[in-house]
Amino acid sequence: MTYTQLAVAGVLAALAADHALLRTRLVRRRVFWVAYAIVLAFQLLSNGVLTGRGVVRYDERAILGWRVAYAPVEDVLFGFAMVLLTQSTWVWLGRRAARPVLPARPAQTARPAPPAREAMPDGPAMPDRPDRPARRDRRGRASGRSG
Amino acid sequence: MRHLTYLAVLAACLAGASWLELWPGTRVYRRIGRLARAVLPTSVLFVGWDLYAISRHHWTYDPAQTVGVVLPGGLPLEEALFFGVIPACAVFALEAVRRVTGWRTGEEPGP
Repeated sequence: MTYTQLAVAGVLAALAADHALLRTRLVRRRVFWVAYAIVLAFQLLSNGVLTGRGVVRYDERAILGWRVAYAPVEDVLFGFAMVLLTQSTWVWLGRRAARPVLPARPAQTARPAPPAREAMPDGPAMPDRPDRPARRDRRGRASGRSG
Repeated sequence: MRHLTYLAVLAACLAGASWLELWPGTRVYRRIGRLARAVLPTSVLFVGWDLYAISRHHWTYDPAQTVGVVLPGGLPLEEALFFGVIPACAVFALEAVRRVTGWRTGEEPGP
């Protein structure tokens, strides 16, 4: 396979992972596209140095020949696939950690979920696992007695 | 000094992203385990891609601009580092934009 074919396949695979495998659907979010635009700008800069100075050289038969800041256009696709797959995995891991592992207990002791991190952007950063079982048990027992 | 070219580009990328830990406060290095787990699958897949591309001569590296350490499969040390550094930079960018704008990435608890 040529670099062109592999680069297109890489983008499609990353989109599939984001959509169906990890279900993060980052490509539907503004935060992804703004972050990607920043990464792309720095990619064109650093990749331009690497290709412009000849640190990496490409076989013209493996690429289309269209260049962006000295680099083959395939590098942009390669970079997009790499950025999306990494960010999607990062968010997937964060989503798994944030999902509360609730013990089985009566419905009336259930408390509302803690506020989302973005609800108080100036507040202290919350830990990855906001639900600490010890604290919840103590609170659950106390509210059970009084109610 | 010329053999440090590729390494210097990687160092610049990492330095350019790392200050985001201080401002706006990405808390990525403080979650280094999660960073490693996020980067590793991408690194493995893209190193595989790279090894295939090297074997098919899609691209070659200038020995004069790399330190000269070549891993099995013809992979220069810098290229292996690239697949750790650049994905990490991508995570820094996402967390920085999230921190500055307050936009959600979808991992946040609640509605």
